[in-house]
Amino acid sequence: MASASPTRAKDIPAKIVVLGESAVGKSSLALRFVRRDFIPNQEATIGASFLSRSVSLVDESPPVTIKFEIWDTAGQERYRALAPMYYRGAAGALVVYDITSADSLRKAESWIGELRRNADPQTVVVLVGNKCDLESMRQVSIQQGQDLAEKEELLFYETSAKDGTNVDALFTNLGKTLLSRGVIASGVDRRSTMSRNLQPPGSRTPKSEQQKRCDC
Amino acid sequence: MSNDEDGSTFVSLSETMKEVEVWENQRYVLFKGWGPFRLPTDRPLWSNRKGDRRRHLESVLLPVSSVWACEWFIDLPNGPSTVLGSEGLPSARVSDPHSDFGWLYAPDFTVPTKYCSTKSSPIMIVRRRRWVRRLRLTDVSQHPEAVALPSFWAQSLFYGFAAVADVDISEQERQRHHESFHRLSRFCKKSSLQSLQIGLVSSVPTIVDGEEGTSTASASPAALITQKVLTYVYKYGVASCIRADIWKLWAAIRGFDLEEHTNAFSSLSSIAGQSRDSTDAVEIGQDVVRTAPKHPLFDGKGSVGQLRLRHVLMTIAICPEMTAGYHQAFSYIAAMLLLHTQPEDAYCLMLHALRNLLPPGYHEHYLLRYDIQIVLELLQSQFPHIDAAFQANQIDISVFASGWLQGLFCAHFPFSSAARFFELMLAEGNSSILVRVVVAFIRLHEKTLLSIDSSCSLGQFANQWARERFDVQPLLDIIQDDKLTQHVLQQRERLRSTQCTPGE
Repeated sequence: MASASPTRAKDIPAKIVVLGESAVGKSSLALRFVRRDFIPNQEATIGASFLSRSVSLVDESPPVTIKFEIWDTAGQERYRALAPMYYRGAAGALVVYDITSADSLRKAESWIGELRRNADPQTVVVLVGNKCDLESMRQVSIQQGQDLAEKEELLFYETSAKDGTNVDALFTNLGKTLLSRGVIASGVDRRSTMSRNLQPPGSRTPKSEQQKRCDC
Repeated sequence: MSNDEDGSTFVSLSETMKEVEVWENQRYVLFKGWGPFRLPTDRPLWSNRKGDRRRHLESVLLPVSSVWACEWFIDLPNGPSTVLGSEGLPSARVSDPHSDFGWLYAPDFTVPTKYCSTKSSPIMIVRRRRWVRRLRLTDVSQHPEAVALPSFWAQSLFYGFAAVADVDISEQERQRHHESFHRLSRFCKKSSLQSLQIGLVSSVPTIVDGEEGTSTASASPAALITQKVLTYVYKYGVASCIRADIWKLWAAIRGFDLEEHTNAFSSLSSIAGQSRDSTDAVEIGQDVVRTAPKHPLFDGKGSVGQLRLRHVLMTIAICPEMTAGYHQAFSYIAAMLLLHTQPEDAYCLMLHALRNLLPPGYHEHYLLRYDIQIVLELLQSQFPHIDAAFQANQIDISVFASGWLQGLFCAHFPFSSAARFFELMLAEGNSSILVRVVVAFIRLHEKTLLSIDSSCSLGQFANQWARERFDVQPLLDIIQDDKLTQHVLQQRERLRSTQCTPGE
């Protein structure tokens, strides 16, 4: 099933972390993109789950293949202290909310704030309004999402993991943005830079220290 | 006819009726006569038709979507020969174990059943007979009362998240189940639990080499869980049909007051029903519908399983002893427990595990990171080459270990496997198994881990492996011999006393 596909020499790895409130559809979004599948009542993620898919961008010159390494995180507020471990070293971050829940948009805003404060400034953040197939239950207008994205200078998409709307477009565009902003580049090995730091999460280790082993 | 070779013991009689058989085997001993005697090379006293697998009447489990149609009865040897009545049940049944009905005699057990004689003679010194029980296939939604029996669901334990174990593994598991029942059932007499509650511990029978021993006066209840018992639990697990009783017994042995907490459960239940709008209630509502949604017990909105799950999680969330409230991983732990026990017992066992067996703050303050640190230190000392490779590639084991530990493995392994880890925690009376599972995983995959090049690949590999791990015996064999229990407990103590108080 989802065994790690070996990275071919030309594939450019890109770590993408998926953040957002519980039950907004983070895992479903990742599964739709990687396996082109949708499972109703997707089980809650505990810890994190990992998926990857390589996508060729043929209209780039020269054509490139990006291997998206997707870190799908647990959404519960309680786990939030753990998040730095996940977004550290991420090339891209998807901050997902549910268009049928105004509350989930507020949570998304606070995620954006946290990324601004703690994540690598290069990390490309995408605001994603998921479940756009549930139009009749909509609580968050497209305009609200767009406004927030513009204010924070983020990429923005409304998606449906259920019917697939915009999911591939989101990742393709994210890939292009990563390349154009130089966050990832052919020939450069940009591995996930997760440290083995076991300090209480939140106290972010300066980059230079990340190589060191924490012996605490 | 039954065909044990392919693992299936249930024979279809009609579209809605199936039959399962167990064979009783006896030997004639001079001066003693016929009885439950056997030579070491004989088949077990209770077995399958072929005589190479242990089976017991009590440990035969109902498959999913069926109910027992009758009790066990003795049938004539060659198949469903009894005339079926209107209900699809035999019109006359013999179910007295002392009756002489149905025996087939032979000079030796190597004689195939079809050549056995129905008449005894001086050279015939072994005999066998066939016990059968019939079951009716049924629609679960129309027979919710069937859910009242935990064993009803035990067979469906093999459901993981999306998969079902293959035939070979199911059969292995079934053998372990019968073997375990044989070894441990005496430990689980209802009287054990009751006598323990009223303090008459010394009268509880203990196990000596799998045979019923005379009661040894035990100084402390914990002495009931002998090394022998632990060995059986590592090797066979606890048979599903006795899990509920054994698990409760072990919790009680470790000082958990079952009666008090069962009462607390009912009083908390009424409060839990009222607080539907709290954050915990909303989160629990969201998670209940997506916890093991493919498992027959939890399938469908408003199903018995979902109602029970919500009930248990709400009471845990508002229980005064659990200050942390609801944690998403709890839904998987509660679901695993509900496959074996009634809601009040699931509540008790969960509370016992979270409050008494896990170190304080494990979920609440993420102190499970100490356990991850203990694994890291063991990685450094026992697997320096993997440690070096992980450091070079900046690979962090917490990408999988953190999730595994939060859910006590219930969120990542099939429930049948998670139950094996959980019951070892109960039997050993400490939670060192949590660290030891992760270490054993590393030992089992030494070579593979060396070739892994990123945290993402490690997380992917570990979680995928766990998800399909219906057979955890190789892992448990490693853990049984790891001698790490004391180390883990001491290191936890050291880390707790030396590290600064953590923030949220």
